[in-house]
Amino acid sequence: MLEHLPPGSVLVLGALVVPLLRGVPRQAWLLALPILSFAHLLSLAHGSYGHLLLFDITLSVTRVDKLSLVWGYIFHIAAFLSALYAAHVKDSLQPVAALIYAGAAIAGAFAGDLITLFVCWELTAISSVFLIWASRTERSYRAGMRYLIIQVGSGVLLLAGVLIHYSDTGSLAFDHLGTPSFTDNLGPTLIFIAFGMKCAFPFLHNWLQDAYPEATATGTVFLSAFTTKLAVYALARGFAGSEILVPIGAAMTAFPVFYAVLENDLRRVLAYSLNNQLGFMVVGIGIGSEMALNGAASHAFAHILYKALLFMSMGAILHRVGTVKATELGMLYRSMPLTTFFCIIGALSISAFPLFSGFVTKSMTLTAAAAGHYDITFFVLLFASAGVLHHSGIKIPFYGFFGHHDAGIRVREAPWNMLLAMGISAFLCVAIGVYPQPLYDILPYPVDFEPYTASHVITQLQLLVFALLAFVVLALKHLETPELRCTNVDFDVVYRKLLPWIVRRVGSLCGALRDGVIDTGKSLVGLVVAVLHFGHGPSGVAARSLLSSTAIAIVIVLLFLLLLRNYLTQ
Amino acid sequence: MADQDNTTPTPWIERASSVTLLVRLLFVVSACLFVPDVLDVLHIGYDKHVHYGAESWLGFYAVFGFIAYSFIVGAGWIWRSIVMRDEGFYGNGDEEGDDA
Repeated sequence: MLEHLPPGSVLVLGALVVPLLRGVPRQAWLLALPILSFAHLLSLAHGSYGHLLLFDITLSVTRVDKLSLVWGYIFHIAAFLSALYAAHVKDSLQPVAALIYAGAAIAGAFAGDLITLFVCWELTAISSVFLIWASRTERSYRAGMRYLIIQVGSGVLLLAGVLIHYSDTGSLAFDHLGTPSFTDNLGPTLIFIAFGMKCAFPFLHNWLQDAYPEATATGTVFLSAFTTKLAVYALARGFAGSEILVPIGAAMTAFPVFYAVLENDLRRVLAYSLNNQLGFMVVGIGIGSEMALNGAASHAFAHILYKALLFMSMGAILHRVGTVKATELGMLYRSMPLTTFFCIIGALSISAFPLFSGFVTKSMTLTAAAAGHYDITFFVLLFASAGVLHHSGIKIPFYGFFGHHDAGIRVREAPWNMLLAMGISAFLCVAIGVYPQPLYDILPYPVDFEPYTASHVITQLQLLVFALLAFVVLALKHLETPELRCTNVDFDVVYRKLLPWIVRRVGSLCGALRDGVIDTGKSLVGLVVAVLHFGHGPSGVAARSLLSSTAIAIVIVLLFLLLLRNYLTQ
Repeated sequence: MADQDNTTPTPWIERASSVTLLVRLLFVVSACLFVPDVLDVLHIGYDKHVHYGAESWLGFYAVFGFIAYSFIVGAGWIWRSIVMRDEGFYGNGDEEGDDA
């Protein structure tokens, strides 16, 4: 009976009970739901479940296999840690939205057909926007609207692609969909773009940096785990080995680095960092070899943990201080030493220092790129690795908790539930780094990779330590980019400034055109009236009364002319 | 919520002497990390596993890391001059939210 329920449905159904509960029972319920949902997942063997008949189409709501299980496991861990982190929140809206969001993402990762995927896709979009709106500010409302338009737009594109694909092939199975091509494979191409929107491909990425920093302190932790990683899963399922993903992913790793270096809002820095990390996964999926796909899956797993940990640490600052702007912070480590410690663990993990989770996962993708002779991509990824150290390894902990001066902020340490969630996340980051075998065991393909070779450890340390040395040298010479209160214009300027400006200009042009047409019409009408007035007005020619003698003279002249004509024509 | 506390002594990590010590330690660690590459070039006890010829150059990863980081910072200065605008550029107000 339980196998007919899709994984994640326990969270969605359980969320509906949350508004009825208060205090400790509610906290216990919020923490129990991910555990119950996880137990439900473990009860499912590999295979397809929940076959539904929709018109004459059979849907396969659930498909359990090794690829989907990687995402299923980590999504449940993330749901539990995020729920623990948010346990102090009294607002009923947030936990309901968060649980539905997490449940929909989990169900999406197990969708066996494209219609089920579409439903989950849209449900994640609609539920997650409430985590942004829950900030209840004008900024968050506007950012949420932009987020919703783009996310729902992605869903609409997905549905259009699915329908075209179905009409072409007669299949709704969510398996490998072929290579994107507008001319030969339109349906899957639209699906590919829909996935790309949610995965924050270059030029489609700004919803991420726009919306995530506007969500609540706890909401961003949920957001960081599910939306983009569901898209990564969808790409791995539908488009593994698509060559186009390699340059796209490489670009994703590199360009956010140049924005992260400038950003003052540390949660926005992490949003750019998230974009950069997604790039590594996308490259792995594009390469498509067993090692590369293992690299993408394991990186997604590790990334969800350390990115959540970093967002948690910034959320703790936001919760206590009320801001995460680097210019406002300084020496906060004195007040929040445990949060500082956990943040540094997250920073070491994302930077891929040996003995931390990023080291044992990201290196698989790099090795796969080199083995596949993706030469330029390999060096771009290497460059991006140094970039990660800059914005997430150094900038986040340094400006979040140390800085150049004491800002005089004295606050209490983060609440116990936040600390516990950060502590467990940090433990997992180290555990995976020290002993990666359990993670390797759940990957889609057998792992033939040894991360802890002397060469690998030494070269990675050389890269990172010398990048750290560059930071120190530049800081001593006062050459590092200073933190400034500012807005850095990204591609979203196109739809936040340029398009509205064009619409306004076109509108005013149309207005001027309309005014011109009306004015010309008025002038023409005025002219006609004047002419008519001239002819038929009170003193017009036609209305003028003539003397009878004049009329007789005219008639005589006309008769004379007629007589003359007849005479001449005889 | 926030108040100034001037009574506590300067913590160890904030002292100038500590920062100097840490910087020197970093220089020493960096120098030590060069040693394996020298051993690799001399074929003594360490063999660097490489995919590309450039990787086998002496100190390739160290130099790459240093230059890449410096490039990012340098490019940041230039990029900032192009993309930086006022904080209220999008005109959405400046308030930040938190949990209820």
